[in-house]
Amino acid sequence: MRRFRGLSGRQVNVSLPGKSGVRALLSGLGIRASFMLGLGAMAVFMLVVVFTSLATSAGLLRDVGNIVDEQLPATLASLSAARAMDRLAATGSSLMAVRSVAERDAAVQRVTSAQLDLQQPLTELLQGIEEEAADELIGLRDELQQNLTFLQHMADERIALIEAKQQARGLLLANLQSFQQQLTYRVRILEGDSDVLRLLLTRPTLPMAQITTLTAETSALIPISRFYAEIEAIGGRLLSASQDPALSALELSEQVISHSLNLADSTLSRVPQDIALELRQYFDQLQDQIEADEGLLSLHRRELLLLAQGELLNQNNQQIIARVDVATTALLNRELMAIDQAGDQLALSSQNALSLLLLVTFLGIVGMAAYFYLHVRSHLIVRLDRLSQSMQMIVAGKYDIELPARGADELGRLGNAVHQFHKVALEAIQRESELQKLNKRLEQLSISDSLTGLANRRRFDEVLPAEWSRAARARQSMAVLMIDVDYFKPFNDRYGHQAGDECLKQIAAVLKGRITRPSDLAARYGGEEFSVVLAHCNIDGANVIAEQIRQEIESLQIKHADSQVGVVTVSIGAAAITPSSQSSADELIRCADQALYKAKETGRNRVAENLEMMLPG
Amino acid sequence: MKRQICILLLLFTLAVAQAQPPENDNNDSIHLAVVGPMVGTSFAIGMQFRAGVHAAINTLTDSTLLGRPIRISVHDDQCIRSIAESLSQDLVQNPPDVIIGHSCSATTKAAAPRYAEHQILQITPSSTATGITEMGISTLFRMIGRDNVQGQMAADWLARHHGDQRIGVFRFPGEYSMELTRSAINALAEAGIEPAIIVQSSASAISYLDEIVQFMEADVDVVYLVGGALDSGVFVRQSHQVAAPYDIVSSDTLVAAIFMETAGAAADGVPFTFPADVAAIVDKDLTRDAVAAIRAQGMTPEGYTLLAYAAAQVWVEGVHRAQSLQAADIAAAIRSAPLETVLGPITFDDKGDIRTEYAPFSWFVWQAGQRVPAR
Repeated sequence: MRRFRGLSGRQVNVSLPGKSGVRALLSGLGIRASFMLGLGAMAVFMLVVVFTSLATSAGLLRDVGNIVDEQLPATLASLSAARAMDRLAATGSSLMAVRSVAERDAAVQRVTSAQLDLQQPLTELLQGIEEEAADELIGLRDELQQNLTFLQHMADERIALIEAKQQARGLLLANLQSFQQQLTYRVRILEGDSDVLRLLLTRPTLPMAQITTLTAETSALIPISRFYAEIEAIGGRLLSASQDPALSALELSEQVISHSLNLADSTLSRVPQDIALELRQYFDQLQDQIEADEGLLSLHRRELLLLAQGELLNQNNQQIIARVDVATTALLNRELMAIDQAGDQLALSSQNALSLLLLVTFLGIVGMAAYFYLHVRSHLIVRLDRLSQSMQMIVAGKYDIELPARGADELGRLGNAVHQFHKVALEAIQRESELQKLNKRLEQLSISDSLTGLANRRRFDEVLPAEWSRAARARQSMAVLMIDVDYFKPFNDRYGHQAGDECLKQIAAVLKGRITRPSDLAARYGGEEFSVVLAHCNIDGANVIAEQIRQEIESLQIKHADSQVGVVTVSIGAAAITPSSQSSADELIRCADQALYKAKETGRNRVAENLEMMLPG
Repeated sequence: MKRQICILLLLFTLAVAQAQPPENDNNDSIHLAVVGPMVGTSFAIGMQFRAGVHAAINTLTDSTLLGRPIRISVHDDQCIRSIAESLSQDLVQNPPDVIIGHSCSATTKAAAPRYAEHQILQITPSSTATGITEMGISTLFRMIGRDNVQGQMAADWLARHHGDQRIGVFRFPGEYSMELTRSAINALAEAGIEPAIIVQSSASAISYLDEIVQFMEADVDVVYLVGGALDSGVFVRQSHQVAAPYDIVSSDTLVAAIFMETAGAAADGVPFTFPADVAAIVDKDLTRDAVAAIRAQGMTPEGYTLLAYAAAQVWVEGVHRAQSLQAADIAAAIRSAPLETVLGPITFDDKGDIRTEYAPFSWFVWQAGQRVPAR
């Protein structure tokens, strides 16, 4: 890792190429590829989101389907089983209400159909509940059916009782009719005869015989009238007692009837013997019908007892139904709770699914953002940074740098361009360097002598006045040496120009070696003549230097046959002056020349000085 | 009608009611329904109906008709109007081909319109109320005379025996009494006779002395009495006790034990109309087979047995003639020509009333407790 400065200026950590495969791949991605990768990832992510939501909605649908397919039928089974049980129990009441065979058949039919109706919902219900509850329900059902069987038997018994009652009632009515036949007309006779008697008694002459007979007959009939009334009352009471709704009412009726019978019996004893004999059989019959086991009252009591028993059974049925209700309500509650839980589960999983979806979406978006942010920052911007830095370095003239990677993408192509730029810049700098060298040389060439490398005459002419001025300002002494090779023309003639040139070069080399101060200048003055400018130097110094030069050249031992000493020598004229306004550089050169002339004159291979110049102003 | 017949053997009644032949559910069979009081106070009439019909079917057919078996069912209306109404509703649910019944006029009147509506032929052997054949039902016939015929006969009797005397009429508010007396008064008026006094009283009164005094004060020679057996008995008894100076002429209600018991000796000599004694009137040759068949049913050929027999005979003959079981076809066939029956040759008018060669009612008189033809 290296630290780069991002575009924002903050420091970010980025991976450099070559660290790992994926990073290498990522860091090498171009803009288009980056965006393609980003969009591709987004598309994949969208697909993931879509599939996630599809999967969750499918899951939710499955859960809803589960409720609809399993929980609801179970709930409905509980309800319909309870209702069917209720209906079955209700048939018990209709069984107890039957009064004829047809009604009984209809009621039994209802029971049967209610039993059939119960079968399916009960079977459905039993499948879905645990054994204990199922056993309880089956137990209750069996108890109910047993009660219904009892009730059916009781219904049969009641019908038989009703038929028997009908017969008994018929017998009673016949008996009462017999009484009516025996009594009605006698009562009417009594009434009629009494009226006749009343009329006869109003006659002016009373028909005593007729009155006597009538009175006897009528008075004998009087108990019959009462007896008739009593029998009528007994009959009416009996008939109404046979409809008594409760045992208590029936008992009261029985007491009343029994009392009335006693009264009627005593009345009957007062009825004339012959009529009483006739009536006695009917009266006995009536008493029999009242008191006999098969009598109307007894039958009615049995019916009431039967009804009470049936009522108990029906109440028992109601209790069973209450227990069924409790059981099915418990089941129902459980089912409802299951539905509730399933609903909660559903809500939870739907919430979870939503959260998951949101999370996936959030993560996806964050991932995308991170991808674009980090990737763009880490790789694209790093690459751009490096490209820019490289460009800046190149522009700054630093070429020894690591160049950005080249490639086929946009940044790679930009890298190519940087490489190209780098190359071009490198070539340009090389060319410039060569040009500078060339220029330097040209400059050298313009101020130096091409053969000896010393400054040329032009240079000497430039430097001397400059040095003159400087020395003048500094009021310092400066000197000039004029050096001439002795017998150089003969040398050239003898040894050739090339040797002459070589000779000059060697002499120049000596000068170079001796004139080392930067302010000093050694120059080829022309031909075999050299000149030296010595700044801040008086004539003594100049003599010393001149002598050293002469000796050194002599010591070069360049063979010169035409010289008296056999080797190449030089004559040196030295002049020194402290420049003033009255003098000029030319003066100094003339003095040096005069000195040289003097050296030549005095035998060559020597140093001569021009003393004239040493005088002040 | 107030034909209260004594009931003696109720156990027997029940046995009979339970001994009804099991209903044959064969849809191919011809269904003849006998309807009347099979239990209760008038059960004897139902017994007579049943015996007569069975005797007729046994005698006149091989228990088939038009190649189809005849099924006879017996139904009880207890001579009560409301029961008859509900019974008729039940019957038309699975309509029989013919109904022989009902007995009491009120029940016949209540049920007949429903049978007619369902095109069921109905023949009543014993309903005498005038209105029955005045309902405009063409498929309803009766084997007995109309009540108003008794009134006309009474008028004839009064005109013949008391034409020049003062005539009183004693009646009660019931339909039977009013109808008979009205037809008698009308017939008398036609003969130019007007009753001296018409007294109307209430039934089951304690005494009829006031009415008797009224007749005596009106100085009537004869009273036409039409009422219930017991009321008639009291009136006759009291008239006799106060030695009322008038004769009494009456109707068929006097044929009742209770009248005899109440009136006692006073009953003797009172003439009254009563349905003709077919067995006595008709040639024995005509009734021999029927009487034998009725006796074979354990019954004596009394009361309505022969009339029920004749009713079945009329229907069988009608079916034979029409070759159909459609009520309208049979009714037309019955009217088309005289029928030879145990009642002798008979015809039916458009209303469904029978016409016999002899009067439908005869005059009788009580003599020492016996009903004998009046001269």
